Amino acid sequence: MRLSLITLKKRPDSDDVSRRETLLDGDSFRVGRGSDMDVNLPDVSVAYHHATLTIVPGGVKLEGVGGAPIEAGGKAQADVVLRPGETVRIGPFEIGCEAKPEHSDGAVTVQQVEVAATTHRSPQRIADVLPSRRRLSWVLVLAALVAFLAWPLSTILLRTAPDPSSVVVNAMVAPQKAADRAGTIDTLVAYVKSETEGGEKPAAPVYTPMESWWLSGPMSNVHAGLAENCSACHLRPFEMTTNSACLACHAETKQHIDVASHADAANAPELARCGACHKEHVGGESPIEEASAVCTDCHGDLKAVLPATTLYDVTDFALQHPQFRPTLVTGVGTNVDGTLQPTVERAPLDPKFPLVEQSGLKFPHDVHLNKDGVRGLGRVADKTFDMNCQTCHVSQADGELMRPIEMERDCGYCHELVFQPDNIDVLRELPHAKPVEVQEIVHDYYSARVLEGGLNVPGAPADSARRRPGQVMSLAARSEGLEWASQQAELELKRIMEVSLCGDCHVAQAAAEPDSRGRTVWTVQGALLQRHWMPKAWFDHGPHFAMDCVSCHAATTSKSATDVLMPPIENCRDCHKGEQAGASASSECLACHEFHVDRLQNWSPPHGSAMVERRNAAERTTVARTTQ
Amino acid sequence: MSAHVSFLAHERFRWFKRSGWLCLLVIVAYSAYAPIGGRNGGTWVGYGLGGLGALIILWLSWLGVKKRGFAAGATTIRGWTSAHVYLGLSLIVIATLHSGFEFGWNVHTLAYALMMAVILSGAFGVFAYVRYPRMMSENMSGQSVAGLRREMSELDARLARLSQRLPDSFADQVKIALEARMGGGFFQLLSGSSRRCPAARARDAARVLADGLTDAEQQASATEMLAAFSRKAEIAARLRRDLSFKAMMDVWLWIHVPMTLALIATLTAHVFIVFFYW
Repeated sequence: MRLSLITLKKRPDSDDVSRRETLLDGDSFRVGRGSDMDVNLPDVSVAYHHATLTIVPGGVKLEGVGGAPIEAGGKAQADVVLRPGETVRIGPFEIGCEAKPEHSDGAVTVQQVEVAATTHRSPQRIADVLPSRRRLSWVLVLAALVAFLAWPLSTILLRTAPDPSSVVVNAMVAPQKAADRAGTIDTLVAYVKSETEGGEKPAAPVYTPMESWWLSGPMSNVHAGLAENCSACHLRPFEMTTNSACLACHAETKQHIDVASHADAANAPELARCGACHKEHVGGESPIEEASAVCTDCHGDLKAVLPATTLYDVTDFALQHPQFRPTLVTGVGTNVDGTLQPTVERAPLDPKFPLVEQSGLKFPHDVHLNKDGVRGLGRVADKTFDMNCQTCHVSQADGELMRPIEMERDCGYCHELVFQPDNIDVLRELPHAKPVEVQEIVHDYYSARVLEGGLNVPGAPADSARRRPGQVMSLAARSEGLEWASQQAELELKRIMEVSLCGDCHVAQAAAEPDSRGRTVWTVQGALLQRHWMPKAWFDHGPHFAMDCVSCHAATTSKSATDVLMPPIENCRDCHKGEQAGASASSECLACHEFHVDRLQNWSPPHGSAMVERRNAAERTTVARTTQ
Repeated sequence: MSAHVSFLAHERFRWFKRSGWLCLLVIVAYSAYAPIGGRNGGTWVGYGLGGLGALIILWLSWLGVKKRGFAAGATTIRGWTSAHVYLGLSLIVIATLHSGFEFGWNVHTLAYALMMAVILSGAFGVFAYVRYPRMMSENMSGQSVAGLRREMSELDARLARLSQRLPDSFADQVKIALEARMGGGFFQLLSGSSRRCPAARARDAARVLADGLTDAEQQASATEMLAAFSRKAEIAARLRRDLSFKAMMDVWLWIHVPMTLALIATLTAHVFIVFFYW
């Protein structure tokens, strides 16, 4: 049989199709990829021998070899009979049947209808597989601006600034739980509702979670409650925090100097802000700056900023700090009315030139701190007492000052003010610090003894000594007796004042002129005990508990109360080695000096230099009080 | 001076030196100034460092835009690139000292982190531009991508032709080899791996098949086919490596550019916030 094989080829760039006819002879014809096939279909998707073609009446028949598929009408089939005009597909080739031509028994057409895909084009560049950088950038920019700026700002601008008093209250109230507060969306919904349905407009949210992203650093512990209440301190946008925000809570804060004049003096107005020294958003316990630089920035060379100053420069406790200058009584004068007027001065503790304090007290510390014990006096003269510093000096609760010495409590056990002439049984206790009363008591005693008679004292008037009870005393005898009693009292008083009782510890002076009754006027100088030696500093005995008192206060060798037992700065520097020293006890300014001193006024009208006067007055008052 | 000078060494490291001096100046200023409350962005030196850093960031961003449009000669572009790289690196010092080493979960630290992401991605870019061009030319060994692609299509045609003389099992391998692709997804592009290259697999399979052939003519065809498979595998591997080098030189820009824009937005927020709540 003869087959007409017509190869159709579409010309590129046109619709023309060329026909090339080949005549094949045989019973059946092999169709496939193989180069030795009758009908060669050169494509790898076609099997080597894909199908066998035979001519059948009215057309051709294609039988797949070994199950090779022939695609007819979109379905894969094992064998197909093609009538003229029908087509099937094998791989990229279309096989068609044409009407039987005259010169052969059948005709098939073969046309490659699709070009075998060579290589698939995969993404070649990173730009083909990633989203556009421009779009990505816009998304990120918008996300950042909305999340970090617009969202928090919307609530900040909507809400009204709190009034200062509510800030104080708010600062003490724990912040509302995040879950309990209305968020931005809740507020918006409520706002739209109030617009459409009427009713009250919602309050702006107090705080959005995104606002916490604005915190430039952690709050200090004491201000942690304000972390969600930015406007408590930041009262107005684009304005540094003002003192009024701080003083809303800290109105009671005391001041060491007038901050405004401080700023003027340094010609640095920014120093008048609380924030000049107190830095928040840096964590820590409180925004109190411990570093000495806060003070030494100016005080290291104070004349440079304040030429008129009388203050000494301080750069570092160990390197440059003036010697301690205790406040002490350097002299005592007497006022016109007879009261004592102490002279109070500050003087440096120079070991070469020991200070002398005129407290008026006679008190040898060494005797009272005798290792072998201290012999008692008067009724306890047969006993020996072990005394130490704490026997008299007890630290106050604040640790700073010692409890004031009280004669009756601290000295009176041994130093009893007992007036007991030899031959009477009943002793009389004399009042402390009341010389006039003492004189009266002593005079009264002798007068009474003379008048009651039976006085067994050598040299006593005979009438007073031998008169029997009940006998009336003659006027002459009475006068003579009282004269004698007065002399005796004066003698006794001289002894009491100068030697035995008062004179034991105090200096007593007899006035040049007797009083109207002819009696000597005695003045006993009260002990002007210094209570606060260094009032410009603050010393806590508490942390120093492990040290012996005498390691700072040389009491065991002090023979006189005129010794000033305050330690000089060198003692402190043994441990407080300065801020720059590695192993050192704290040496910052604030370790001893407070800026806001409790004893002083509230943060109130400026007082500047007047403060020094006030302090001096306060010191005098303290001294005067201990004098009485 | 040689025709090719790396942008890193431009004008005898002029920008390296300038940036170095800038860093030194900044370090000295930071060390010398010990303000109350510790060193941080809220002090005068802090404001100064922050302003300097922000200006550099904006300028470098502007350079990034401008650089693309330069019509000027290679020298100028090289100079700007050099400045961009060294000033960008100096930002690490400036911004870190601006922060005073205070970091937290806040928008301020976010800006810092974004800046570091931009700088580090940029540093990778520098690394890529120094390393990959040489590797690319080594990889191509004097040939062009277009030439290799043309050769590959010729190989494909030859394989199709050879398959006509060989049994179906070979045609199957040819089919597999035709599937060989260059490029692909993100990770394929970056790795440039040819570990599962279809051409190589086809070659290995065809080698086994060829041992089973008896016909001398077919054996000759099979030998020819094996050679074509091998060559195709080799070309494919080269082209993949080439794509991977190009991808490496590009990919960092997807961090560098969007992060720069995000940084500018966050920086704006940062500056606004610190002065809003001064």
